[in-house]
Amino acid sequence: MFTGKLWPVHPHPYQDELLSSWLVRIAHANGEKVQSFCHHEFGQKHQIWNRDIDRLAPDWLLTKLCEKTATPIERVRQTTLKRYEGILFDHTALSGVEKWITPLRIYHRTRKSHGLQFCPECLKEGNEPYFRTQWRIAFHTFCPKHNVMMHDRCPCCGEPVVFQRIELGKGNEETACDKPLSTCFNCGFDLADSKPEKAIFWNNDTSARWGQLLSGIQENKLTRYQSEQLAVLHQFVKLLCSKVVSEKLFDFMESKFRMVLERPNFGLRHFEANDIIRRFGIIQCAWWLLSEWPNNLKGAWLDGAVRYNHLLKDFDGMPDWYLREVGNMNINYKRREMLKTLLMNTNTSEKK
Amino acid sequence: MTLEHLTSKTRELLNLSNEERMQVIRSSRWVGYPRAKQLLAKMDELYHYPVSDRMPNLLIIGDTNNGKTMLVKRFCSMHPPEDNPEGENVIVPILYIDCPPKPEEGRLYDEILGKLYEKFKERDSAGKKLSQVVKVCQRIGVKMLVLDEVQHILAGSTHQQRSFLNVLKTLGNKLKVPIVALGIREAFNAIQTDPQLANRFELAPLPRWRLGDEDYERLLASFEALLPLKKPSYLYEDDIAGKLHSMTDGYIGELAKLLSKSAIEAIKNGDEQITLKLLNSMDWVAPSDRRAQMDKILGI
Ligand SMILES: [Zn+2]
Ligand SMILES: [Zn+2]
Repeated sequence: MFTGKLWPVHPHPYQDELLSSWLVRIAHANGEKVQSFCHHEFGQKHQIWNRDIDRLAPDWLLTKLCEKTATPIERVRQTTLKRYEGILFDHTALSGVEKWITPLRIYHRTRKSHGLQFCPECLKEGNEPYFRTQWRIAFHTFCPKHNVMMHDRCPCCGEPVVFQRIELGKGNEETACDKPLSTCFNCGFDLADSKPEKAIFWNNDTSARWGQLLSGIQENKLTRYQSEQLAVLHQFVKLLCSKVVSEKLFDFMESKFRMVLERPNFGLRHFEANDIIRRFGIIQCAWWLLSEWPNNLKGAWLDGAVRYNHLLKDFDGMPDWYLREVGNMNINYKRREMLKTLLMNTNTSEKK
Repeated sequence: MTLEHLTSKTRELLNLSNEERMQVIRSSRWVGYPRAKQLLAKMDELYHYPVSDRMPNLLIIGDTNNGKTMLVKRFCSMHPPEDNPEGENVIVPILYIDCPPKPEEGRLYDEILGKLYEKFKERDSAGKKLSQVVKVCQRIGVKMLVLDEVQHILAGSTHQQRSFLNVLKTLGNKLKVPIVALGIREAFNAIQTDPQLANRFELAPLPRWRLGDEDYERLLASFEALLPLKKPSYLYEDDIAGKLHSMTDGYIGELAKLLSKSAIEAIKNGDEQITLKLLNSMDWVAPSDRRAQMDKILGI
């Protein structure tokens, strides 16, 4: 049957493909630049590229994509970050930074932050390179499939990934729509050729649990305990990025591990806005605080690196096991020092 | 009652009510005749022509309303397009477009893009549009391009006409598909002056029906066999065949229109056959007289 209602070329989204990636592919497959394609198909009044469409896709756009590409609406919805609602964050906020989602901060369609990450190995797979929804997760700093670090910028020129601007670059007008999505919009480098760097973890246990959480998020199969872990990890990364708390915590961990750690960028208010190297380090610290529960956290607390009220601050829906341990930390300075001495003596006597 | 004048399928239609039979007649029908069959075979050969850098093209020449369009549409309907919702693109084996009103390259691409998209950028350069046309046509599996109303190119100078035909040739080569163009004889005069072009465009005339030609009689018999009337009309007999020819000037499109009008009348008045008397009583003006009649109405 021929209805003439579909776009002549109507590719469906690839596995886990991001809405913006899919939309640019559709436009290019129809031989058009994405700006003019959207202009014709959605009308001039409907501006879409002046916002983070992967986060805040208007409903009419999703409906249109469903009708014009014969893709079930449920599948279309899966291309937006709303798919992580109830997994990474509770409900979509219309502004501000979403929990665990990297911000793009779009000003006049130019991205100022490096919010879209990519794995060069994943970009090489399949028929053509495309971008995944999970690459917008701030927690996703390494690719669990290839065990390499994610990238968040062009290794050649340092610009963020903005594939909808590829076509605006120099070069032949007629071939503007034929460049692969992995092309750097600024210098033309193929991001798939970025050097894959092995992700190095402080311990293997962390990497295994981290990987399990990532796949649980992706398949929406987190156990209750995993969801709780994720909530606690977020509380920790928040503390690690808070100017008031961070200093002492980092000092403590640096002396503990005997290494220099990269501090968060305090110019950015949110953990999610940090670049990938910093986020990778911060999350490892958070994992450490959660490890050997509750001993590591307790050690930090005893040392005065983190305080009771910080651990509870703005933490809605904290798990029972967390509250139980943190509840014990509600004691005054003097008693904590006593406790510390006491514990240190026990440890020394054990060693004898 | 003998029903030998009807095909077995048409015979079945006689069981329908009068209203239903008239409905069947009103819906357009197809009559196969030898020249048409030859052309269909020719198009089929082109359709399956192996992909090469130099694709052959066909120009079907005939007067207005002599059945060219009907014939080609018939061929197109044998290779219908498909939404292909599961796949990544629609499938359009034959892309059928009208020639732009002026022989200009950009406008030709506009016609093609206009067929595929509700809106597109008309201000783009011809080069940009060509690359979009080639990219999309290849994706959607176009195997033949049909261009109707080629007489529109007469709106340009001889030079423009020739260069437009060259654009067609190049487009066919880029798409790697044959092009079938339909038009009146004058539209293709430009080709004669250019051996390069003549080499790549085969001419296939579709002449008007001539009285006394056996093909014409066969055509009338095939028409009759498809009209669900209870009595035979013997349309191919000299007097009635001559009458039909003078009323239609030998144009198949006119003939089809006239016959279906009269068949409906024959059902209404209960005669169940088309007779000379009926034809004489029809409110019908031959194509060649229409202009004169129009002039009279306008008082020129
Ligand atoms: Zn990967
Ligand atoms: Zn670059």
